[in-house]
Amino acid sequence: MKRQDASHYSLPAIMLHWLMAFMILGLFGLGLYMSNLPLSPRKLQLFAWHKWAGMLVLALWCLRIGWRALHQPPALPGGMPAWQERIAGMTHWALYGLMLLVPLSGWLMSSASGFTVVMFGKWPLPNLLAANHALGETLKTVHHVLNYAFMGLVGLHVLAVIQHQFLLRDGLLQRMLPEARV
Amino acid sequence: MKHVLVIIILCFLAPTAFAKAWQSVQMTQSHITFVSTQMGVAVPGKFSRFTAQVHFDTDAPQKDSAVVTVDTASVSAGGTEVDETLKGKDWFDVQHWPQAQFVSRRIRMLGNGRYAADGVLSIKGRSHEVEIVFAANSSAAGLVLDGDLPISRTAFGVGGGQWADPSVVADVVKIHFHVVVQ
Repeated sequence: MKRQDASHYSLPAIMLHWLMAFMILGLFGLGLYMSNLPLSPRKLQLFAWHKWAGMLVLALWCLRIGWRALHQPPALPGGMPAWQERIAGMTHWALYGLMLLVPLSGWLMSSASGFTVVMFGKWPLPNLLAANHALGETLKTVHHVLNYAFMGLVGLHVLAVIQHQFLLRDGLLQRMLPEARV
Repeated sequence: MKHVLVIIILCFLAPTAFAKAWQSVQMTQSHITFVSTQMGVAVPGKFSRFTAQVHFDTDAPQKDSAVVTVDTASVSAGGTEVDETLKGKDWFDVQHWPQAQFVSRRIRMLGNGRYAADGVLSIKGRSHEVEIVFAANSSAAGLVLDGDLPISRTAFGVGGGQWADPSVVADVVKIHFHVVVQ
């Protein structure tokens, strides 16, 4: 594993983090909004866009996890209690896990509901499951529950950043910002 | 020698298998389905109620005829909300147009067990000349007629208003029928 600059994540890791963060928050909001719309062409469009972007998140996840496996993240700030470091590590791995499971459950749900995911309306992705209405409904619930768990952890993640940034002032957030070039 | 024997047997069998007019439609084994394309995704649907009067003589197609009447309210395409929308004013408007109908004018032999039915298709009070190419194969259940008819939904006013945009729901809908006659 490549040793990184002690104070910052590498630039690709930083870019993947922020790109995925904005995509995931946008997808969560879009998902909430579109689910409650009455059937309309706009709704079909939004569902398609949501699926395409979700599959992009899945592809970015592969890049990110591959990069993460080869590059050690910078050290946490000194002075953190051991339990906090443990919670931080667990939260990060759970976030990686949900980043994978949420789009995957969406893909499974779409397959089981009988809707092939067709990227950009042109390239069909394989159906992961045969069409099965009851299973589709179950997977819809799974997709929702995983999303709320994901957003809960994202909330915890953001609270930790706020605590480090504004209460402890230990510069933790700097790790995920590009290094200022002097 | 063996081949000659088979050919001789077939010569005797073929006329008995084909030289009759098929006209008793087996409703339980027959179905009318369709595939629409939404945001590039093929979405299947079906009409569960229809009647068909078929007179089909494989040796004398010039005398053949077919009248198929579909109960438009029996449409389904994967969910209550979708089905209700399809029955509504923008789509089949089943209150005003409870039936769609195909009436053949003539049936032509194309060879290799394939035929073409020229006739008029009427949906929502709009009539257009169509040509339906189909295959006739004899099976244990009877003569199986399988045909496809791609139609322009907007030519029949199906999917108007906000749904007219073919970039969301494609204009071409492929109708497929599988009719068993004895």
